[in-house]
Amino acid sequence: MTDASCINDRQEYDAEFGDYVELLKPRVMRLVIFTAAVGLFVAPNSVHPVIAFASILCIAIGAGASGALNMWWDADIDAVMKRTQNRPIPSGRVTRPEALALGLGLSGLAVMMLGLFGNLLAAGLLAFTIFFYAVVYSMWLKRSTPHNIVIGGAAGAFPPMIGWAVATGGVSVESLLMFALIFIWTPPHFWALALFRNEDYKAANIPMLPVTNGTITTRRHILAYSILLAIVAIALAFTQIGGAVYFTTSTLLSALFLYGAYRLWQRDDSAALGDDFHAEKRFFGFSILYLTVLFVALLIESGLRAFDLGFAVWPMWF
Amino acid sequence: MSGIHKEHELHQRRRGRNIAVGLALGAMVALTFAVSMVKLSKPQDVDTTAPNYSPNAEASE
Repeated sequence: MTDASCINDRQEYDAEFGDYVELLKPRVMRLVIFTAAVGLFVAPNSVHPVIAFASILCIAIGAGASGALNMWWDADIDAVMKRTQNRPIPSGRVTRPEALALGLGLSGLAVMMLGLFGNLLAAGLLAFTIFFYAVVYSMWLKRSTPHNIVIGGAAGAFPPMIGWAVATGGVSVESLLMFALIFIWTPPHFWALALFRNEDYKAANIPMLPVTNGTITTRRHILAYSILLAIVAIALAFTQIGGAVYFTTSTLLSALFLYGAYRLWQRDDSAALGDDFHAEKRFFGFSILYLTVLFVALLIESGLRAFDLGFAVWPMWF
Repeated sequence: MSGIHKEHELHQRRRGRNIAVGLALGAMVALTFAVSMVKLSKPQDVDTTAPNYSPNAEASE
């Protein structure tokens, strides 16, 4: 067998480094890095910058690894949906066993290194997050219940809690409320997406709420979760990481979020089809801005406290 | 023999991949070293999680 025949016998495409990076869902990783960093920096204890950087890197790699495991498991439905057809596995750039090996290897590495760099609680939470996303969400809930995104959202909600655990070594009402904020934000965010990607989910046979219970029920659920979200978002203002800046921001943005949800609730399919899901797409885009700005506001509060610029008297109810 | 000297496009791509993996491993070694330095440089009466933690280190001097 010649060198040339060895090459030809192999798959036509040999993966590049960038293909493996794509398996780690870099866009999701960016959000994880951001929320974990906020959780770490707003905590009352200061962390050495090197330890903070190393810990956030481990959390990001752990999140990426769970993304690779998700792509390994979901390769069949990714190939059906337009949004995911170009992912590395369905497009033939990476094989499924490669994705599994990368996901498992990086999961173990990230958890072990976070245990060494940070502490065992943070490492334990990261391990649970990976397990939750890869096994509970991807393997079990996603294809079996319309509430997949409600419970699966917990996986995305853990990073700020892990960041907080790196700094404090514990769990507190602040980290639980940051968790709740992302947890309750996830369903309306994804249901808005599901409303204008309904055909995709139908084709892939994924039981998203609009597929199983119809769009009217979905719109009602979006409004209900948005009310809950506003309560949690504003409650966070009255903890030791909140303050006047965060309170003002969260109140204003939550009012806009509720208005958007109310508009979706009032619309029906004919109105949505009439303007190509304009309101749904706007609500989806605004939901990303909403979460980002709230976490930036928490960072600003932390900066103000560091320079003693915060309100001298601020009610702390939690 | 001339065919062996000509580099296949696949080899070039693999070289790029190997360099990237090498750099990633190098970065990990550097990071582990940096964290070790930070952890070991903490005074032993401050770092309550250190195996050599001794709350009375200053008093005993």
